[in-house]
Amino acid sequence: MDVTVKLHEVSKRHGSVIALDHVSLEIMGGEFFSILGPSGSGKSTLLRIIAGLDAPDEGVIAIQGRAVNTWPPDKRPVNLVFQHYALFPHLSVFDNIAFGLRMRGEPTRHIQDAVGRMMELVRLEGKEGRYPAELSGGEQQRVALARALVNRPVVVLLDEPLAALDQQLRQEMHGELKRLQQEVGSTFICVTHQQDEALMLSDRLAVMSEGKVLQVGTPREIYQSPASTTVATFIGLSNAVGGIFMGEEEKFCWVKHDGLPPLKALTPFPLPASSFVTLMIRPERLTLTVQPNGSPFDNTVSGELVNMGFNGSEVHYHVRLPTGALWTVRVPVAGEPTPRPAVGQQVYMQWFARDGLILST
Amino acid sequence: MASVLFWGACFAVPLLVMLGVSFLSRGTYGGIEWIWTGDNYRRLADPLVLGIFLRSLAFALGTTLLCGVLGFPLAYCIARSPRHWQHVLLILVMIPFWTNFLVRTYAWVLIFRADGIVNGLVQLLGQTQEPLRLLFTDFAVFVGLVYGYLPFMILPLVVAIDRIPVQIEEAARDLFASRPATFRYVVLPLSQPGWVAGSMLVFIPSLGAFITPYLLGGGQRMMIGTLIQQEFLVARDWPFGAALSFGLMSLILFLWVGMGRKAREQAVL
Repeated sequence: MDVTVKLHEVSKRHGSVIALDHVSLEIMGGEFFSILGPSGSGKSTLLRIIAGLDAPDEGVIAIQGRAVNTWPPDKRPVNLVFQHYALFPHLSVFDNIAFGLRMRGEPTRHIQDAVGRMMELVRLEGKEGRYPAELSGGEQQRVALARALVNRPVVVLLDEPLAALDQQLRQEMHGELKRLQQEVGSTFICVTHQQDEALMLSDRLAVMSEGKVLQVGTPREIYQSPASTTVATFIGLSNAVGGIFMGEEEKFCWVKHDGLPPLKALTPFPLPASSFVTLMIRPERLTLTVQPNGSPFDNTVSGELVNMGFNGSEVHYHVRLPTGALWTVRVPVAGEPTPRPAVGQQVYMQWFARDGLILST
Repeated sequence: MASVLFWGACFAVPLLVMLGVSFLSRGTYGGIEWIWTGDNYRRLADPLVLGIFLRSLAFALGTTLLCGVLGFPLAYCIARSPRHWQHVLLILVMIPFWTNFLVRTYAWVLIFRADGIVNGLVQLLGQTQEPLRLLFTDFAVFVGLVYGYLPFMILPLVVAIDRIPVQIEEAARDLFASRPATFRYVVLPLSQPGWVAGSMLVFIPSLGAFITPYLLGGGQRMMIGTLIQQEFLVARDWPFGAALSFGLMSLILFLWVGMGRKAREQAVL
C-alpha cells in the first residue's frame, strides 16, 4: 500500500490557540483512518487543512506524493463530508449530488448515470426531486455522503459524520460507512470524539489531544497498549491508580499506593524502582463481589458502591475507592454478582495481574 | 382600527384627491377648473413625455444594475467580516443618511463643477486646458443616483448573505467550484431575497427621482420626477402633473407585479 496522504510537521494557530502542533501522519491508500480526540484537540482543523479550507502555518501536506499546500480546495482530489452536512438548500437531492461532477464539467450522460448509481448505493432512490429541508437527518447524512463519494475522490474526509444522528441510526451507519468505503475504494479519514466509533470503524487511528498526535496504531494496539494515560482515558480505560513502582519479580511487579494494598501487574518495560507509575484496569476485566472469597484473583480493592446503571446487556457500577477515585465496573447481565449489591454498600473489585496495565507518568 | 383611520387620512385621502385632480382641467392662471376631462392622460402618449418615461426607465435600470454590481462585493465583505467589524462597517454605510439628501447632492455639484474638485485635479495633472464638462450631464445624474441609492442595495444584501452559512460556500469550493462558480451557483441564488428587495428599493425611488436629475442634470436632462415637479411648481399644471404621477405609479405597479411573478417562477424551478 502506498502513502496517500502525508502530513509532515504541520502546525496551525488560531490567534493564541495552538490548533495543531507539529503533526506528522502517514495515511495509506484504501485505509479507514480515524482521528480520535476530544473537542478542541485540533482534529477538525486537520481535516480542513487536508481539504484546503485552512492553510497551515508550517509544514507540508502531500496527497499521492505531491505537495498540495498551495492548491485551492477545488483543485484537490479530496471531498469533505461536513459535520452539519452543509447541503445546498436551493438544490434538489439530485442537483446536490451532481454538483461536484457538474463543476468538473463531466458530460451530462455520465452525470445522470453516476448520480443514479450513487443514489442506489446510499439507498435514496426516489428522493432525487426532494429538497434538503424535506429530508430526515439520516437522509441528509446520506446525501452528504453521496455528494462526496460520487466524485470518486482519492480521499474522503468525514467530520464527525454520525454526531448528529440518534443512537440507533448511528449503529446502522457504522456498517453502512464500512460498506460504502469498500464499494468506493477511497481512503477515508474520519474525525470523531466517540471512541467506540473510532475503534469499530477504523483500520488504524490516531489519538489527538491539544493539537498533538499522541499515538497512532490499529484499534487493537491502541486499546491493548495505550502509550499514555491520556490515550488510555480517552479510549475508555477510566480505572486508574497512581502509585510507586516497587520492583519486579519474574514477569510481575508491584505497585504501592497509600490506602490500597500492593497491586500486582505485568511489567511492561524496564522501570527503575520507586518511579511513579499509573496502573489502569479495563472496566470489563473487573469482577465485583459483595464478599471477597479466596479467589484465583491476584488483586482485591474495596470501595463504596455509589450508583449503578443497567443498559440492557450490561450492568455498570460506579465504586468510590478509599483514595477518592471513582472506578467503573462493567458486568454482563449474566455475570451479575449474587447477592446483588446495594448502593452505599461496601463492595470488592477483583482482577488478574495480567489485566492491569502499567503506564509511566 | 386607529391605524386604519390614520393610514386612510394620511395616505388614501390625498391620493384620491390627486386622482380626482388628474381628471380636471387646468385654469388659465394655474389652479383647477371643474371641467372633467381625460385629456391629461391622453397627453401621456406625447412622444416627448414618452421619451422622458423611457429615459427614466433606462436611468433607473442602469442605477439598479450598477448598485448591484458595486453593492455585492461590499455587502459580501461586510457580511463575512467578524461581528464587531460588521457593526462598524454598517454604520459607515449609513453615515451619509445623517445628512440631508439635498445637501449631499449639492456636494456633488461642487465636485463636478467647472472649477470643482475633479477639474482641479485634472488640471493639476495638466491633462487638459479646458475644464471637463461634468455637471449637467447624464454621467453626473447617473453618478448621483448610484451614490444616493447604493445603501438601499447594500443593507438587504448584507442581511441575506449573512444568513448563508459559510460552510455552504466551503462545500461548493470543496466540490470543485472555483470562486466565481461558487458565487454564481451558491451565493447568488441563496441571496436572492436580498437582491430582489435591494433592486426594488433602488429601482422605484430612482425612477421617480427629481432632486438628483434637477441639480446634477440641470433641468434639461429631464427625468419623470423632474417633469412632475415642474408641472406642479413651475408650469402650475396640476392636473397634468397628477396624471403623470399616476402614470408613473401604474408603471411601477406593473413592473412590481411582473418581477414578483418572475421570482415565484424561479422559486418553483
